[in-house]
Amino acid sequence: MRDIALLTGGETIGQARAVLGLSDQVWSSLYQAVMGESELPRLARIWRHQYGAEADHVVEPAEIQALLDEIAALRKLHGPALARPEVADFFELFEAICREAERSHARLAFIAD
Amino acid sequence: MFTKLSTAARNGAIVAAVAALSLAFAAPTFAGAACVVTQTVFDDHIYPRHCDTGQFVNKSKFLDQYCTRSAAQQFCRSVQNAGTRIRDVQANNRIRFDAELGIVVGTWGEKCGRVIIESANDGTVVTQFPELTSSGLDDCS
Repeated sequence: MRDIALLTGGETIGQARAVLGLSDQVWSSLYQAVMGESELPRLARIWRHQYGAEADHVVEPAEIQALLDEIAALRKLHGPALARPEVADFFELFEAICREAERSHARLAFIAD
Repeated sequence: MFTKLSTAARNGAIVAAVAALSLAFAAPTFAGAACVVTQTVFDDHIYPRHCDTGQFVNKSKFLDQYCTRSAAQQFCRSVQNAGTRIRDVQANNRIRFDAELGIVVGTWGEKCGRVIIESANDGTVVTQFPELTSSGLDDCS
């Protein structure tokens, strides 16, 4: 499970409170789809590791629209994979959190186990 | 709390915990790279995320007696060699081990553990932590 948190001030990822989790199941089920598409660099940066310090990642507010665009592209390329209930639920919440981060100028943190 | 115990009592608890894990898992030895917890991964990753209750508050936390490097090393071997162990090669070639340990190892009552190593040929531990649930394991909590 990788935690996803909004960083709204000067807090570190160690101080962040998770608002969503990227589960092993969702991560592994989309690994090949995300990593196999060269036009999804932001998603690939998030997806390339699930564990360890290198899996931590912070997305700045200015990058969030591009991340949303990559999710839309992933849906076009791999619709059936994203339609599976657990995956669909994750992306519904993830996109909502991305939009909230954009609205509030927050950074989006991915925090590994 | 554990932190208020004397050094002798603390060392005794660590020895007892390590002995309990060793006795419980005199199981088949994993025929691949043996796991190694480096000082760097322990200090920079495992301890702050999975021992220190003052940060990374959403992460599972080991009981104090598993929060030394030597105890962490014993923990990874116990998971890797457990009879209940599930071994899975991830898409990035890292190896994931999950196992029921039969004793509580985490502050939420976790009785399972997960260890990730770099590859079948490189046992360097990427991370390890207690688990309250794990696919394929029945008795984690």
